[in-house]
Amino acid sequence: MLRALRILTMLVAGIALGLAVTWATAIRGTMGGNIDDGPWRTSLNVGSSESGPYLRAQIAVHGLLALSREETLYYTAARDSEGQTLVGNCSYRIEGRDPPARWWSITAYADDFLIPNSADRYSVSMNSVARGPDGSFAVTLSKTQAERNWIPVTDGPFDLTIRLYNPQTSVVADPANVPLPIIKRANCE
Amino acid sequence: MIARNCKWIAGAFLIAAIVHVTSLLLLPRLIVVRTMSVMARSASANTILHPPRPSARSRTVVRPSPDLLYSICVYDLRAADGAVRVSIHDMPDTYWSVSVFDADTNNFYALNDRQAKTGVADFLLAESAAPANDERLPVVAAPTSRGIVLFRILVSDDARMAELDAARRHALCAPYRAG
Repeated sequence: MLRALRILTMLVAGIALGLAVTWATAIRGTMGGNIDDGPWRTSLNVGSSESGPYLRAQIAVHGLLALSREETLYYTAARDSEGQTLVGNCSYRIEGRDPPARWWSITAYADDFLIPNSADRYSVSMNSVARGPDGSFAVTLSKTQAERNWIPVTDGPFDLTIRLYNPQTSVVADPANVPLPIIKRANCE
Repeated sequence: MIARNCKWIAGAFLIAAIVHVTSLLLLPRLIVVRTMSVMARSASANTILHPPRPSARSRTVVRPSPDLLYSICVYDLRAADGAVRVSIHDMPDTYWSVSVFDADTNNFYALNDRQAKTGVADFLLAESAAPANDERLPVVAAPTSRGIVLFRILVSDDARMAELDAARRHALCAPYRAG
């Protein structure tokens, strides 16, 4: 009887621990990567047969059907430029210039889906962003409406993805030093 | 106490390692199969779907881009008796691409508007042996017999939505019959 109980305990503990490690290493969080560029993180092996089992599982969970680097590079940020977690009860300014790609967009997600809002606004892109006279732009992430370049967010953690479609060769050559926008926390409730 | 239960603790760690590796390796394919099952509720394999522009209500595939129109097809080479023809033509002047993913999430083929040049993409998806092909279409070897074909079309201007939505309906993903 005691032996059967020990076997059962061993099985349950082993299965629970194994699944917990898979959750912690592949399911929890957001799109993974091993290359940091400020608050942004990416991998050159997304969508590629070269991706290892951990990246492959992360992409399946958080970025299924992502294109390989020849077509698109995805940078994701779950923290601002000071390292604080992005949360909807704070507002943020994303400041920068056009990244070196044929086309780009910045999109906000919560739990890997677009964030519901009455304005049906989810992103800014190369086509839609309003720029200053010097070509720079500032995007506002907030719950309350901003005058221009506004991406609405709601309470709770969220993250951002920059898509670089047909990136310039310099991006793939040195993905940790791409001139991507900074993310500045403005104020919090 | 610990010494007495040492073999049971070691056994639990061994089982944990096996469960971790197995679940990690199976997870991508399980997610692809689940996604294909969800899509099968709307259309059978080798049939293209044209879902609405992504919004917060879009829940089939994670992290969609709200700036793109997607058309999607589950390819099944066995159900198609060997080959599936994938094509699109008369595409307007905007970024578009057609990409193909195997059951392990690998993006093993992609073609965009600049590479297609003439606004046309037209190829066969097949398993290793090239099918009889009188039209001399390029053949793309699929690593797995089932997977996903995805068309992306950039909505460069909201005013062009109707034009772009009409254009993507030229897309084809269907069993290929030679001759």
